[in-house]
Amino acid sequence: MSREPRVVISGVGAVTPLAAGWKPTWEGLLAGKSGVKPIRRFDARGLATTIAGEVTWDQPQDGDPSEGDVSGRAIRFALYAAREALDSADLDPGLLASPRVGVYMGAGNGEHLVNQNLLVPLLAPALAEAAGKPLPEAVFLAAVRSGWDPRRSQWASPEAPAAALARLYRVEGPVRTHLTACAAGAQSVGEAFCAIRAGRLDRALVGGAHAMVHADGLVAFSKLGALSTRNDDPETASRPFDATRDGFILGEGSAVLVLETEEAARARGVDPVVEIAGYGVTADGYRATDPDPDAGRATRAILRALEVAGIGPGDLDYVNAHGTSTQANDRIETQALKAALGDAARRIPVSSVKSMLGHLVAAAGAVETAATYETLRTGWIPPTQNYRNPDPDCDLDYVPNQARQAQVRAALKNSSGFGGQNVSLVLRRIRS
Amino acid sequence: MTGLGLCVPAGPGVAAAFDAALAGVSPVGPGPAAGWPASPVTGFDPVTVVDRKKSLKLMGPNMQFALGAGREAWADAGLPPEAARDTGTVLGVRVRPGDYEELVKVAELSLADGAFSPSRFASEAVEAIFPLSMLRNLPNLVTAQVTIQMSLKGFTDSLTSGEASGLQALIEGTDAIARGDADVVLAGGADDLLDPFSLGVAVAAQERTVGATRVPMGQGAAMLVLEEAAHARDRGARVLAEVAGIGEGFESRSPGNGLAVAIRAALDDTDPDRVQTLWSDACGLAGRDETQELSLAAVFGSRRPAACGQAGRLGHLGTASGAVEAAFLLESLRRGRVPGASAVDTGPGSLHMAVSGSLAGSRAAVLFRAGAPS
Repeated sequence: MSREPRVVISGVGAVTPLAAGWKPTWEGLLAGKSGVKPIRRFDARGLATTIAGEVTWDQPQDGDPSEGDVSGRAIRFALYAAREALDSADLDPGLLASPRVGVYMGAGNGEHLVNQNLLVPLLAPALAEAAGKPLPEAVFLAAVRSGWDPRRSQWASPEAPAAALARLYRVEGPVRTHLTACAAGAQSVGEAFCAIRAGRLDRALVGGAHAMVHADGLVAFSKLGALSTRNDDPETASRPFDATRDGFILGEGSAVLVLETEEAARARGVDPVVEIAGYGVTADGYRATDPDPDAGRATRAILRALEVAGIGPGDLDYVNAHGTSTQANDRIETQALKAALGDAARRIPVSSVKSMLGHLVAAAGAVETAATYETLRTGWIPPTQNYRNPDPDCDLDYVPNQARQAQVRAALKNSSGFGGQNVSLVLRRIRS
Repeated sequence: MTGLGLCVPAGPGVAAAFDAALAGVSPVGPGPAAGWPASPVTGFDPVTVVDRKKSLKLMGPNMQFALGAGREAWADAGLPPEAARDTGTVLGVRVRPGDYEELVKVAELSLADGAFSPSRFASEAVEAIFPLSMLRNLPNLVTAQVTIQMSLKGFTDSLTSGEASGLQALIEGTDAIARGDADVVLAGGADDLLDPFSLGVAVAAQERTVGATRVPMGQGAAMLVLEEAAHARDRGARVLAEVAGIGEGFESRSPGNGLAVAIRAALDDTDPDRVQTLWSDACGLAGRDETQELSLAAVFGSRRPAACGQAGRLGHLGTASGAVEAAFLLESLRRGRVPGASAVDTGPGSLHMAVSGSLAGSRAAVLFRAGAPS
């Protein structure tokens, strides 16, 4: 084990509802700012939820301008975040053109099926011709076949952000897209960590990119009762661990991190501060939407990450929670933290940046890994904003409403997703 | 490798599918897309693999195929029920667009004057959406349904990199075992390119690619049981092969480079001449298959392994394709017979490779050594 290379984070970039850029995002998180606003990119009136963590920026289109606003929105987030990550890592992009470099991205349902921009216009002529009669399957198929622009598959499918990064930087190694829903961003970090640690790669671009803030995305989650409906109070709608929480806020964005061996970082003159040290994954194998109420497998994922890192609960100084602001998630996550960390759980500050960013779905774990990295680097713990009313089932220190400075040597990052995926990462300071 | 499961055209299970391969039986026939052939799974009754019939309401066809193949692989490996809790599950999957009827209904109810109407969408179309629709179609739910139905609670992941996904899942499962995250992993891939939306998209892409032929679009799944060698030995499991090498690459530098990188990584120090058979998912897919020739020439030169891939017969099986090839490879080792090839060594210690690649550029290769590890 001792011969395995240390895997360090040497750069971070992001596009979030708070800002285009990781530095302003981090400053916003410490200041308790919210990126949750009434939806502006499309007409959401009449939907159950009309607020979201939208990315509002004026970056140029990277796709075909004729495709308008939905051509690979997640790709554009990822490209921007990667550029910033490389700059912050002070890494020559030419060093990515190698079989010993990989791209690991979390992603999810793409934008190519969005009704408003694609499906309805595609089917409109056939539906008009059918004049209210049922549309035969063959006619539907023919409409898709003749109207589909194949380039859209490349721009807007889930694997598109990872492929776009690989093409741009001429990466020759593994290019993977993890589709584990809300756990995907953290899983991409964990899998790249394993590949580098096993000696197969020198470095990787890792993270997540997702853009689900469209009418279909909102409705899909609303139908499951997962979203907050506090439309009249967007900035306080996401309130993880608070007794009055009523669901999560859908967000969008991307974070990309540069992971590399400590040796590779030092060889180019970088003095890394934070390493990825542990990774654990389990499946609930319980239900499609509900977490297992006994939290046993989520507990196991945390314990496995600690085991891989070679540390115990007493070594942890911070937990960056999944903390979605749904009743079930926050209760079960608290239960898992108490089961895995024992008495130490009472001492360790736990916070959720989803209180300010909303839930970036497949990008969430990546942005939150970036936040965990920054906490270790700077000693600043971002708050759980909007925490006012204690819930007897959520009885840990959630760092309410005010950023806090502390000595943080090691931290845990949890993510979980629909279907029962539990992912935990351990990050650690390399030097004091 | 201690167990195999298939749910494929000209099958659906391993025994029938391999017999069909030996006999050269083609499952391809006229499909729902006019003038375009299709390769459907037939003879598979999903009710036989779910815990309750009601569960099928939340399972698209790709999930049903994955579960069918998963149950067969589990039984084939002879694993005891108590092994389930710590067993890992990794699948290559693709985003499913949704059910045709619902897509049409939503579109219909969202239209006003020939264009999308946000107010009609909100007031009428939303009502028509099945509340749990998302769960039928979320890609990670393919994997999750396997874990839920089979009570597999160990390591898990869902990957999508087009046609490379299935072998990437196999590679990740191998990694998970090597690093101690699991003793047993069920890994594979599942897809359904015959739902009307996916089929329309796939056909449109091929029709507009220069030089494309009419590749049959298909559906199905393959699941393989990976097991840590000592774990398999201790329980007296029959071992079909060991994973002798894994590799991944990406087509970014020059055509064919990605697969060459993947194959070389899987071979490591092994002499390419020792590879007996090559199971590729090449099926005539324009924009991908032509680069594979360049890769094979670069690595193997004129001394190619016997080309045994079944994709030319089965058609395009999407994110299941690489895992399907691996399953056929492993069954050929069990039977000692290789479809379409003779005088091929399938005995213990012989080397065999499965390769696959996505239109977007990901490439994967897995090298198998027949028999149990020495």
